[in-house]
Amino acid sequence: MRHYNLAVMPGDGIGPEVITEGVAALQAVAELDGGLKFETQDYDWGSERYLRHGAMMPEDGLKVLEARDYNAILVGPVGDPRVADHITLWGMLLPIRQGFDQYINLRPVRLLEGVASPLAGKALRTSTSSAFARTAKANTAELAAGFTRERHRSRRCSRRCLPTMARSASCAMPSSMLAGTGARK
Amino acid sequence: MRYAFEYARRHGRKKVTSATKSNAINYSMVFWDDVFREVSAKYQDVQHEQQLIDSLCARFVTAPESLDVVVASNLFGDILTDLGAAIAGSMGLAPSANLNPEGRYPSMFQAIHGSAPDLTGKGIANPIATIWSVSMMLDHLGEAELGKALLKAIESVIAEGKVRTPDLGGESTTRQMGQAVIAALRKPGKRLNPLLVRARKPSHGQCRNLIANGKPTASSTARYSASMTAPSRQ
Repeated sequence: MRHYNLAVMPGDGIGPEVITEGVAALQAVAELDGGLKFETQDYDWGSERYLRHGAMMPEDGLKVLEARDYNAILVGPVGDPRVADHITLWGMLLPIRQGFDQYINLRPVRLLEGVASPLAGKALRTSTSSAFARTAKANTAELAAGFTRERHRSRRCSRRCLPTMARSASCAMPSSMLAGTGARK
Repeated sequence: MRYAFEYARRHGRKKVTSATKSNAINYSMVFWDDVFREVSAKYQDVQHEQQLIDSLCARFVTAPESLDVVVASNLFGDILTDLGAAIAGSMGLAPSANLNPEGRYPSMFQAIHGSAPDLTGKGIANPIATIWSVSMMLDHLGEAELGKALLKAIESVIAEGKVRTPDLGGESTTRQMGQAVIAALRKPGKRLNPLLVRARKPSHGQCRNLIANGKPTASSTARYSASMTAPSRQ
């Protein structure tokens, strides 16, 4: 019997509803296989907990998870209109991602048979000009990088600065993304 | 980036595309390009290319079939994957995995959609993104054939089109959609493809050897063999 220990965090909003189906699918897989067992432990971490106790998860949350030696974590969406987004994100998901060094964010994209493009037929229902929101692009924001460069140049250290930038770049980009699209299965 | 190339190799994918913007973001993205050049040189068997994020977004829409594996920084990846989910038809379909490839810590699996407060309690949210995330979790745990079976069940329910939550233009409930996937999974005569057992991904803890050395070590190969000879499934 293969045995897996899973932490389950239903999260906020529709989270409990979709996670229930996810766990049901998981148990169906175990049943189909016959030699597999999933043991799940629920955690009520999220915005409701924040509103009641002032924290999205316990202070020693990561240690709690680590002590249980989970094979994986299944988590629902996190976010609530009553709590600022930076609190929900920095209070739970980011500490887990960073604390558990989950530096890869893998996101498959696949066009499924039977699902039409959301834009299909839009032109017929609305005039072309109103089918797309107009996008305002900040045209000079990129200059920030240019200013930095100019400042470095004026201090005659543009080359020497690069390794520093390199380190901060790697810190600023902790997680990378992969998307496999299209034809191959 | 190394993971992107390893992923391409492991899954028989031909090409890795790097999302960049080194023309405007002239320090960090130039560095990103440097790293991409350096890493790609070590994977001669995998094609590589880089593209500016703006035109890459357009390509996601106009020619997604020309892409295979895309590697991007956090922000670009965030934007690209929402775009990807949208062109795929619904945010309710898109899964994700937060991976610690070395297997030192547990990895985390999550639908990429939000908590949708306006839908809460109505029982009509699409559970597919979560079930697909469960499929990715099975892959990660070394149960690739089960992950694949679950994904096939999802695909057949979507293709059939009888059970659909409102985001896909239907009137089904979250529960009905979940139950439909389980029913498809249990369809009699379903056999797990033995080839997939050989393609089994390293499980939590086993990845370390694969990633660190770029190829399986003797001990990880032995563990693979052991897992392959596990009792056969239905």
